[in-house]
Amino acid sequence: MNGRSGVFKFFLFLFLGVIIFMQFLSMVQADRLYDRLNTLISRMEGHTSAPTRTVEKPAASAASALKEYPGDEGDWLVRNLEGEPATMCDFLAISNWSTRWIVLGNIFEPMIDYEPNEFKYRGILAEKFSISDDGLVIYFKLRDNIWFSDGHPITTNDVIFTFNTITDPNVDALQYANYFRDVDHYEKINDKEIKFYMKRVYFLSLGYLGGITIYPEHIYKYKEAREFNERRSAPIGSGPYVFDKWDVGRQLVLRRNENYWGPKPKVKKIVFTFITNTTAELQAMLSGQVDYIRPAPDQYAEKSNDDNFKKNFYCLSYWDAANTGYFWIGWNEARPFFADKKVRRAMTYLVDRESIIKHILRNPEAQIPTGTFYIYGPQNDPNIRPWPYDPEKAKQLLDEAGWIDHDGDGIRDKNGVPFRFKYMISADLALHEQIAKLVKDAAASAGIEVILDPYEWSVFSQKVKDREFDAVSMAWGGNVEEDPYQIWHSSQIENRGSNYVGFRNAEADALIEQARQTLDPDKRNALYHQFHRILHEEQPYTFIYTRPEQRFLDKRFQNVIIHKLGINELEWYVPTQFQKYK
Amino acid sequence: MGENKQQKNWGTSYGEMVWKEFAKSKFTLCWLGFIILLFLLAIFAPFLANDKPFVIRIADQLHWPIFKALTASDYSIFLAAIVALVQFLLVLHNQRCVDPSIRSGVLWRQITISIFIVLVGIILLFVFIPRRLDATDYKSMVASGKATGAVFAPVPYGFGRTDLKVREQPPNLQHWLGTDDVGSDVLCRLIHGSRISLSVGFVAVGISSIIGIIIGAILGYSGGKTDFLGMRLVEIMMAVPVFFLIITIVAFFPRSLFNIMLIIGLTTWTDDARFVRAEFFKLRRQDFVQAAVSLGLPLRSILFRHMLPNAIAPVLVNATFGIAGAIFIEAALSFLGFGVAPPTPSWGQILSLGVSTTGRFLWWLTLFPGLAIFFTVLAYNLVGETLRDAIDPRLRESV
Amino acid sequence: MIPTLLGITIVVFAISRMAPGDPVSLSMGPSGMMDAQRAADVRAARMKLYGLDKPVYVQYAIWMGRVTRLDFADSIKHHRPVIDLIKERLPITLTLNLISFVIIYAISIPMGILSAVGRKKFLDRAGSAMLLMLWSLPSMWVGQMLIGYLCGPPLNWFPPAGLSSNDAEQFPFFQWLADRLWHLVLPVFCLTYAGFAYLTKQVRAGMLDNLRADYVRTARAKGLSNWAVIFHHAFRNSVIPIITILATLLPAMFGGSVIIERIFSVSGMGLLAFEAVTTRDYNVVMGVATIAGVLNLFGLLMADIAYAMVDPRISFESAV
Repeated sequence: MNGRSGVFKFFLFLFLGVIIFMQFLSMVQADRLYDRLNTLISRMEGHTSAPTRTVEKPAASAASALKEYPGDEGDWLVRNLEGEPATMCDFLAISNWSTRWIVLGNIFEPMIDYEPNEFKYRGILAEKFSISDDGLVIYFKLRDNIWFSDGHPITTNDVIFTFNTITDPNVDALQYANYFRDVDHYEKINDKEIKFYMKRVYFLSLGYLGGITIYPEHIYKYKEAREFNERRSAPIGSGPYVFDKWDVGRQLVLRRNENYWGPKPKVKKIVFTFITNTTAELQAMLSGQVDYIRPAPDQYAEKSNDDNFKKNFYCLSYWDAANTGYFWIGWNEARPFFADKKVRRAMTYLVDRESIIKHILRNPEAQIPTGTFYIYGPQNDPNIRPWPYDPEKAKQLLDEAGWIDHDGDGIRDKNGVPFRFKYMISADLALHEQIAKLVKDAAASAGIEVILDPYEWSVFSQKVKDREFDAVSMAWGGNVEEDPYQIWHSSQIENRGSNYVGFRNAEADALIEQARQTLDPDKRNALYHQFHRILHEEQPYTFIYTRPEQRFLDKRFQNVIIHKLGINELEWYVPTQFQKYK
Repeated sequence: MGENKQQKNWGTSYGEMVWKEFAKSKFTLCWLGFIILLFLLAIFAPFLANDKPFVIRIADQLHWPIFKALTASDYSIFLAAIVALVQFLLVLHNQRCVDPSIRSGVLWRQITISIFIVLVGIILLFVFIPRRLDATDYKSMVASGKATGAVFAPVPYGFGRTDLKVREQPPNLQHWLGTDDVGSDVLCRLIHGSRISLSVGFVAVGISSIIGIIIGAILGYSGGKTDFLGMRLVEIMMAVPVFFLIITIVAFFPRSLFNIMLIIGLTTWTDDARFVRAEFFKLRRQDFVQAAVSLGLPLRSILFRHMLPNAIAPVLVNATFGIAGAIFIEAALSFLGFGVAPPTPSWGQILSLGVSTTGRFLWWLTLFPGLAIFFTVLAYNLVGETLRDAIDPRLRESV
Repeated sequence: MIPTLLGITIVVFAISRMAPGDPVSLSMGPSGMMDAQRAADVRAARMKLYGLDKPVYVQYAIWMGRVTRLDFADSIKHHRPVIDLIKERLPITLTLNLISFVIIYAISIPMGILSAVGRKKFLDRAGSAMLLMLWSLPSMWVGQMLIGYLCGPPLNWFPPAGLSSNDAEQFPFFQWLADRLWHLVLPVFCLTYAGFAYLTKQVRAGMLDNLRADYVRTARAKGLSNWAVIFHHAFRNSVIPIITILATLLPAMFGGSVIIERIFSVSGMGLLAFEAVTTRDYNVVMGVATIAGVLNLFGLLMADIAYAMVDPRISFESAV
């Protein structure tokens, strides 16, 4: 008995001792891990980001064509992103919006981009660009005197390399490659000029091709696609910032490209932090650790009324034309309830969108969209006003459509089918749930029973694609100019295409097809206005809201201008006496 | 007179003994009373918190909106409550009038009949009672004068009614416990939420107990290879993180209360199985079991009529703690967003709204549902604890 | 033990594959920018790239093959090896849980013994009720209340989220340690109080059982000191439930607590598993389940061995 208990006791104490030792180790381990990962990554890539060749800048660099930014040099911009990027390559499938916020415009640059104040393109890396009258030949001429951050000049070889990489079927960029399937072949004219020959006319082709961010061939060339796919970090591009370091899970640092071919931004470093919790993010900002965040709508609504807060921080609210989408409720036209246009319009009359914007979003600048295009863009017809909130009108329309309460149970019915449908929402998003509860309540007053059907995102997207829903709420992202083909053309109903609600309208189809091939923007936008009107009449969706981007920014940054199409962080600076970081 | 003598000859039954021990703690009796109160709250929820009035006079005609709007589930709950009450009275009657030698047989028959009635009744109710929808705004009718008199429920709000203008308001005179993120009244949602919590507790524990008993009995009795294999199965169930498993399964079935109860029941039976197995190990060497075996009684009979009644005590005790656990799990699931479909109220769901994204602490959305969960779970735990002490023969003072 | 491990992997594999949705469709999302046929092609190609197009049992066999070489493949969402993700998160979970364990055991065992020894006193009954109350507090409620009241203005006693301040890596060692501990207080508290109540009760119950036994009376009659009686005899025999509980608490230890991690924004194993399930990140799900399963089994095995060593009454012979 004694011996056994002795052994046992020893066992117990050994166990406890091991636990405590492991405990201490684990605490230290967790921090050391970050260092190890960092060195591992840089060793793996085998490339440093220091320039391999010094460059003698010619007296008149390309920069002289572009204005210098005003203000004092120095300081860092600490920006928080709510998700960590998986890669620094912006066209791989595993990249996400986080990747793009970091590299687009900072590290990698496209050939063309939109003007800040007009719906027109301007050249970034390209000096000249054009599309032929028949739309089948697209021409780019790169600027002279532009180079990557290591001094190598940018040539059409790099453009070709990037294009071939994207379209290489073994590179995990298949989604992005989709944009270029209309390219028949390209023709390199010389080191600066290139022509792309298209198979058919498409008004967005120029934008797609010109929007490719150019990767340096001499650095990224690969023998096996796998090498490219796995290259996650240490990107080297032509942009005003270069990659400095990435502490996985903590922060990613960019520093200014002292070799930049264009006007250098005044801010010397951009530090991206990855705090995911929105409350913690706001607190980090209040405690001075972060300068620039994207707040939750509630946070914005509360702080923008707080004078104390506004003394130290900007509450920016601006329409980002390249990123503004809208929230919608879709009515599945394959179901008996929503095949009739009157019913869909009635549903729109039942939803008090203004109240949603006022009380749930608490954002006075949000708008009720009437169509699928960017609300301040050229494709949208500004003369179309949204249907108002009018429950009486809704009831009238429902009566006209034949949905009447025949059996007195409080629920409308038609042909023996009670008006009871399932409204599918994504379970993780509070906003969807709140709007759904609202719709349920409003519909009940009109004699319609709504059953809420929440699913978590993976199941939800599956069901949406399989069209297993009566009504669904979702949001689309947007762009400055879009092609409504994928969402609204009747050919996209089958085969799990994006026309989830089954919208089928011959006139709309014709307009879409014609507009795609119309290169003249005025003619094209006139066609889209007509299409917009059809959408408004038919109400395949109830469009709920579209809203501007909101940001909080530390007030020490100056030259923060809201342009028509968005803001440009590159033009900010901090006056020397307010600079925080050296 | 004769009856009394008969009773004295019967002595005190097991149930009476346990009850006497149990009742010694007045403190626990109060909590038992609290549980009963909670049940009453759940049963009469539609009468306590409803946006429709009991009776309203429109154009000199009396209407009874609440009663017309009662759903099949409301009626099922009434049915179950009535049957349970009747069964309880029958048990008391048994103790007084039925000979103990046949009492347990009588009891089992009564319980079987009750369960049968409840199940059949529920099915019939759901088939025959139509679903009605009544969203008339009675309050505005009274205010505008269209109705000349109305009697409203004590908490005159419906749990699904939204009112964006008053969203996220702290407790005030109109909403005694404040409002949630779409303007629904918190007190109303708490009252209706009690139905979810209580029913989850019972059904989930019922399922897990039954599974646990069956598996534990088989394993404990068989020993050897069967036990070895069976224990591997139990270990697998125990090794996979339970919550993880629950979330995985809940994620791909449609959200319904019954699914959640089923899943919780299917994943928490391992404790019961282990208890029963341990007891059966001890029991199978005893004489009465060996006698039953040598008599050639069927296995089913040995396990469930002879051995089980002796092993049931830890299961019963575990059941009360299991109810508390099931309530916790359901609250956690609702908190994470995997619970019942909105707008069905659940205490965990209200709790999840307690902190807004600005970090603003909406204390009324945290305090009240938290207290509700706390007190309910505490009540069950206390009752379970005292029950355990009452059953334990060593703690009993001699008669 | 191996069959159980296989069983775990099969069960988890089957369940995660049965769930509708797959990681490729998920990451592709409902994009309005691609037409149907093309989207289908892209999806098929990507599934092929990740090896998801093969039949389920083939995928399982491939996975098992890799696991035997200790290669848990890459996370489909994070695109980093699963092992790395686990290595990052497990220390955090272990930190929280081990500290909680140590505290729980360090406090409960003495308290249980004390309360068993002083049975009839009022203190014992009040203490018992208080323990039960602690046990009944839902952790999410406690966590949220603590954050709401202690972490915001005006008190600001503790940080509301995370495990270390944003610039903690620049601190000297002791300051870093202090900062760490400061962040750990609330989550550890939330993890501790429930287990502590439960364990104390068990210790007390076990001790009570033994203190009334004949052999204890004999020991006392023999003239042994109270101390020796309690520790040397009664306690050793009531160790069984403590070991059993250790075995049941182990899964929680390696699995982490999703709720606490959510509330306190700590990226530990619980959140990893939770996110993996919701995004159908199969490799992470399998990796976490397997590793957690192995560790659990190991713990159970140790508990069983200890169990058998301590109690001679327990045997595993065949039936009658």
